[in-house]
Amino acid sequence: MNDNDILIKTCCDVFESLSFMFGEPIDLDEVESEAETFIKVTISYKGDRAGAINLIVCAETANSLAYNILGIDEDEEDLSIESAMDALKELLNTICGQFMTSRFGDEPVFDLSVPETKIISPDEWQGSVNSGDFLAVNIEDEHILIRSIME
Amino acid sequence: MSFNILIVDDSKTIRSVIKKTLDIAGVSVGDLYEAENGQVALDIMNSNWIDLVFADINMPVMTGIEMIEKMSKDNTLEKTPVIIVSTEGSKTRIDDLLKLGVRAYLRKPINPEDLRNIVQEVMGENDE
Repeated sequence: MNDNDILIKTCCDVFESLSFMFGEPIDLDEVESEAETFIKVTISYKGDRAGAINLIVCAETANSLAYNILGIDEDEEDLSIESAMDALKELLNTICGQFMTSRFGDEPVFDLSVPETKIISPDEWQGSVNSGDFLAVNIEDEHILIRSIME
Repeated sequence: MSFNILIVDDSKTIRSVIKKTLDIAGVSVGDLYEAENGQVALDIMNSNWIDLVFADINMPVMTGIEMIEKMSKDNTLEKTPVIIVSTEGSKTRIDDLLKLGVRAYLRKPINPEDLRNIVQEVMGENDE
């Protein structure tokens, strides 16, 4: 498997394990979203190699992921945007940890940063889609973007 | 038999995930405590009986490693078993944790079966 295959597989496996939501890879030209708010999460790592992983999801998907991860019924409790962001950070932290082992094995030692979140606009989302740098995953009819950057 | 459990992680999400997984795994929990860092965890352990600790490694104020080092120098806390829950995948780092006295290591994402087996193993050892 190449790096992109490993990243997509890891991403889908972690989504399934942590949030019980099933993802499948799609082509970038299939990506669409009418959302008005998106959240970009970034984690970086350093060690034998250095790099970063970015994940972009719309706010609504972030909420669904958080509800599933926390095991809360959407009708029972309102979740804050901070809770959704915290859930996304944990998702990416887990994806990154698993990706590092799948990609580099369990011998090298890496330090992972604390994931950072940023709200981005639909234009920035579209710019990321158009850049061609990201991989896309369809998760319950919502599209998310993920990419790995290695130095 | 139920266990008093302390979950130490700066992420509220992960604390919730561990609670949910304990429930799904059928681990019988007595009192459940939460701490967002090692210092708060030590304060809780100094004023409550804790049977088992689940802890993250990287946390602000006091890391999981610093907490374990302090526990190992405290006569009343040195035998309290600690299970590390982390994304760490490096064999070197995991071996270092076990050498420090960490009883077991659970890698995220955790699944209920692994959690149940490790709790049984660790608490079984603790009864001996």
